[in-house]
Amino acid sequence: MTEPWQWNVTEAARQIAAKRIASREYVHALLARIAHHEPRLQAWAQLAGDAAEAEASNCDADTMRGVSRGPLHGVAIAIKDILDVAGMPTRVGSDLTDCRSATSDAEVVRKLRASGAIILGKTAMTAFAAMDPAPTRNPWNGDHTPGGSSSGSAAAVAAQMCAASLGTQTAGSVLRPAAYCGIVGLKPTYDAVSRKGLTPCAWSMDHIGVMARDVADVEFLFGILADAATPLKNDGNAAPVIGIAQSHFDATDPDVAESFKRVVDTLSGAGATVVPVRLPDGFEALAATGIVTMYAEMAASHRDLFARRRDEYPPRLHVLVEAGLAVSASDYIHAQRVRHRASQAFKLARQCHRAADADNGRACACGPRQHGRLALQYSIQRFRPSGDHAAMRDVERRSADRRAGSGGAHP
Amino acid sequence: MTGDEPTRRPHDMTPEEIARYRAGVNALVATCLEQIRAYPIGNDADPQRERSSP
Repeated sequence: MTEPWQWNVTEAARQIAAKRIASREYVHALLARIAHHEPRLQAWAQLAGDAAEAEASNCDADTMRGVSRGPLHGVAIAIKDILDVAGMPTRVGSDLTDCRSATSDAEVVRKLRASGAIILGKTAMTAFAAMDPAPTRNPWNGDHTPGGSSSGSAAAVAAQMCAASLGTQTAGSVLRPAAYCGIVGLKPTYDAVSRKGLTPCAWSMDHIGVMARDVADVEFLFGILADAATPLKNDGNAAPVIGIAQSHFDATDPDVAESFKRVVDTLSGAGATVVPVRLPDGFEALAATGIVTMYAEMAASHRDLFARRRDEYPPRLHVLVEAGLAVSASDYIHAQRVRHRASQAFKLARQCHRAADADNGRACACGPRQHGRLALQYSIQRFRPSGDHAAMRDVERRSADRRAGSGGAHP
Repeated sequence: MTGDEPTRRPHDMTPEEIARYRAGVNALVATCLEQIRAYPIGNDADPQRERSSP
């Protein structure tokens, strides 16, 4: 007999629909789980316990009348605190934001509610989805970061505080924490999911993603959130073809490389065709446009607030906004021209390789660093370490060493 | 935790660390701009290719 907090989304929905458990009882079990682990994990920015239990009771009343609200009837979901949830403030991981409650739901939250979901609360995140770490700890080892920026969304799912959560990704903020916490993350194609009600980080790179403990849940939730029919499965029953850009793994940590090899062997053994792919010329330029675009757009988002309250900004974001403000208009525009051309070259290369199911099997090249060392993963992932980057990692390491000390919290 | 407390985190870097972090970020941006400027962009300016979103 499994505990309710162990169920994935589809199992919870099935149990509630079959009246084997009331939604209120299910939500109550999750809240008890949260109360037990939250002091160590700090995965939540705001809990909506009372509202969730009240809504669960309403769901149960509907159930008794034979009414189903939808495929997520009575199932509790967590929302990253960068998305608007009516009645709760959107703090974006910072005290600099407005304390007033949002008056309406983000589009993705609206869709979840329309499908019967209950919003359990809002999860902790790095400040403004940038580099200053959240207080959240990795459920598998409290000395290590859960990754960011969707830190709480990943940790809450991994610690079985909820079956699924929403995160957002501008660079790697869904895939990286999902990998670090041992869950499944999906960063959909740009524009596949509405960003209405999302506080922008870098608007042309922001995505809303799904985090859960298995692939079936992620696919299920994406089907609810996607604006248009965007099938995740390939056509028919053909075995997937998975491309591996081996050159991109040169700087991978040995334990991550070994783990990745096991995954590839498992997939290959299950029938997938694994082929090597060569990243097209200009891929590094494409990655470079990502950094310039992200910093510049982030600075544009922060310009007014930064002008008024720059002294209150957390240190890493402070530096990044200044760097973004220093990017000239001509450099930003040139970066977009390069970005589009390099993207086209990348798509063409993918078509040539026919690596339709995975263009890059890696979520991140390094395991979860000690808490506070996530800040430079973006650059570390994409660039060979130079002297400057090594110096930046050293800063992160020493900063993390000072903060280390919380105990582990195995889920 | 009552549910309405904002998440707080320490400003956890010393001035020296911030200065080094800033130097690293600036070097990273400079490297990126160098790579972008070196990309062969050509002379064409098809509006369909000049949109800023992906």
